[in-house]
Amino acid sequence: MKINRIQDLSTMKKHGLKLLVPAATRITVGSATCGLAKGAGKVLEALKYEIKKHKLTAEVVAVGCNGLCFAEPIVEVIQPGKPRITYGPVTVERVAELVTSIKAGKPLLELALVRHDEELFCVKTAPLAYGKGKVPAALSRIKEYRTHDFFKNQKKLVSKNAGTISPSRIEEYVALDGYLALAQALTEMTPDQVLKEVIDSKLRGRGGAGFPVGLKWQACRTAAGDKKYIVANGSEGDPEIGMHRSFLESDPHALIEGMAIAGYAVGADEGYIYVNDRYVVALERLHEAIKQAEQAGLLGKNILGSGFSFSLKVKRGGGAYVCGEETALLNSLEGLWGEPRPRPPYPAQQGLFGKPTVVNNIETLATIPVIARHGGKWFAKFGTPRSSGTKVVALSGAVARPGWVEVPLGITVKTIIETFGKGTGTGKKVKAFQTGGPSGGVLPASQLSIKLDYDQLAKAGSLLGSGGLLIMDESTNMLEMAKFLTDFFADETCGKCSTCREGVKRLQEIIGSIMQGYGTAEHISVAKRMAAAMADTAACALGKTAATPFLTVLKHFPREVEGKLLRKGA
Amino acid sequence: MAATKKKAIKKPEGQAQPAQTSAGAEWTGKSQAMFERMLQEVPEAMREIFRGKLMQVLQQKAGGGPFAENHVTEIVHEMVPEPFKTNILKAFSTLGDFDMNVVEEIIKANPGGPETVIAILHAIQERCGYLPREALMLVSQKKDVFLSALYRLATSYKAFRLTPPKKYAVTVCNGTGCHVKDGGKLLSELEKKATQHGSEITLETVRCLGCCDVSPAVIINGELYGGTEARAKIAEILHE
Repeated sequence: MKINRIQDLSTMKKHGLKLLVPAATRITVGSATCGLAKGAGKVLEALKYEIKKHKLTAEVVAVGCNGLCFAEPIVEVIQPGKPRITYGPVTVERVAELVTSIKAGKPLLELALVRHDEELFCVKTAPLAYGKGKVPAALSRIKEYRTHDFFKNQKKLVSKNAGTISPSRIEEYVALDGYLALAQALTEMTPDQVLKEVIDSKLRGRGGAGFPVGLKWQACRTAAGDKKYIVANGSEGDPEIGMHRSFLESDPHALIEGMAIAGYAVGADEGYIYVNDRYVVALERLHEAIKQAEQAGLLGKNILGSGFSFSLKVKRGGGAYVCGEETALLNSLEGLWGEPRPRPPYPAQQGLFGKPTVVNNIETLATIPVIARHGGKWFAKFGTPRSSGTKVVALSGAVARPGWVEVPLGITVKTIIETFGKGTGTGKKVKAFQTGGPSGGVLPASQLSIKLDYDQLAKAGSLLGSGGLLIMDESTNMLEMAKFLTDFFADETCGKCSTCREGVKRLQEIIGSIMQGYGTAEHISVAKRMAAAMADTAACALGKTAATPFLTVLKHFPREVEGKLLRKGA
Repeated sequence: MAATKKKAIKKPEGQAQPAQTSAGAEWTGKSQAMFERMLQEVPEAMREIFRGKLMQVLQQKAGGGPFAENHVTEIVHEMVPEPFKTNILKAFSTLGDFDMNVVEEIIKANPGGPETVIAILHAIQERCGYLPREALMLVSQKKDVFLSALYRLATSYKAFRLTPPKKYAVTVCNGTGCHVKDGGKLLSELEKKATQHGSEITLETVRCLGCCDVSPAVIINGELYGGTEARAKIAEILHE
């Protein structure tokens, strides 16, 4: 269906709602990589087979991930007039049982995780109810999402669609008011108004540095040049999170809409999405989504008759951590090795192919439709004054329930681990945690009450980064951990700056000799001096922060390092 | 800065355009790969002149028909002096088992300048399993990018490999999440097993597959396994 006017969107929305709240049964299977890895593909086939066998009228749909990664494969069932029920883990062996219960109209209590009586489709307007009146007695034993630990403490603004809609159906995205923000921006707002909303939202980059997004856009908008680009950074090389992958696999249209709005605000007519080379499923779904948006006329020439044109291309990365750095990413997009460029000129002045370019993280761009639709001031109400909005946080390492959650900024790390992660899962206590990927500081358990916001984490010597949260339990050897993280940098340094290239190598050797028992106090002071030189002279954040893990381990776990040092006279 | 670097990688402009090797011609078997391999022995500065001359000889031999492998071999026997002759003939026998036409198709499907090469390398590796030297030479010629620049891409980016994979490709996640969950131990264990005599395993590591919930995560021939299942599967492979 072609969308020529804003009214066409509501026609498509009606069509989409029929798919989401169907007259017959709808069964969805969480089919992001995390689900597929645990056999979601087979579960989907088994469901289809059983439904045919029982002669049921039901549609089986592959959807994305809702963050309950620990309970994969996840199956959700919506029967007409009844709440949506989430089951998990539904292995192939349990499928027959589940289908029998669906046929009988009774829930399979043993596997049921949570119940949704209604859907908060749109953040501001009234929720859409699945059934009317009282909840059947049989279902009341399943926890409702508003009382469920995992859901009630989250604030889903950006990831609200993930795991509910099918990523390969544009109608379902539109049913949840998708593309409405773009339509409104194009027809009712000037680019300056859109820009103002983004500045008002105080949104800061979700990728690492936390630079205010509005200022970046403004710099690009005022830069000279008629050709400008929007680049989405989906390199996601942090060795502990996969939430961008999960997001791209669950809700690719949100990114497309965000990029189109960014293009309108900045004055760009072309965009590139740079995706990590390992994310094969995400690439496929992204290509599919772009094709649909083009067919609907929501990408391409003269969108909604506004005169604004925007086209998107997807580029697959080559597998390099340094390509998460924006200028290295631009080089990689140009077919070169991912080496950071000197700044200035900043990408906003001279970026891709020498033209003014906005490079934003995927989560940042996916937040844009929410801001454009509901206003910057409304968005700024979430989170803390200097760190506004919500953040998707990926939990990994020693946690009972790894997965991702979206929480307002300012929440404490302790709350996240306890409410969502449910402890370490090994029976041991938390010893340390690391935020922001490998460049982040390793902080001790005594700092668990630290708030998740840009400034507090920076003060503690760490960073918010792209939202990874790695938990280490008491069995972790901190010196070994520092070695592992330093090895990571030695492996990933691009080789451009000598301080980084040589520095990480020497750091590796120093940690190695301490581990083997040859380390001296001299080693430590050399390491500290070298780290200072790297922070001063490296061209990009990779080199500047490469020594952070070792320095923070040294600071917070001195006994584990100094205990290994060679004593005088020994 | 970016501009000067680009210039360094691109070939200087004004140089004679490389002769079209495949204009109207049909290559059969590995003939094109063999032809390109033969040209490798010629110093880069003179390669394009030789290409044109040898192309003429090849056309004569084929007599208007498709180019066959034996035509190229004949040229080598008749025209190439030692020690290059032995080198080339030896190289022919170990030439990768892939179709040069596929590579040409891939290049055609990605029109544009040097910015398209990473996509092309991905596509070639998907079809051939690795990046054969002959394929890279063709990309270098068609996209006007130095072979050395392609070599840099192929060796710096972790996604590419220059040698054919063995029967079982095992990728172990070496991300922090998996490391904390004893991924390091699993990795060193598998490393030992993969280097065993006669092992059919290519072991690679990767930083985060994005499946932290099954950590330590291992991909064996495209299928994802958690730590325990992976150990069982590897044992099964080694038993074969």
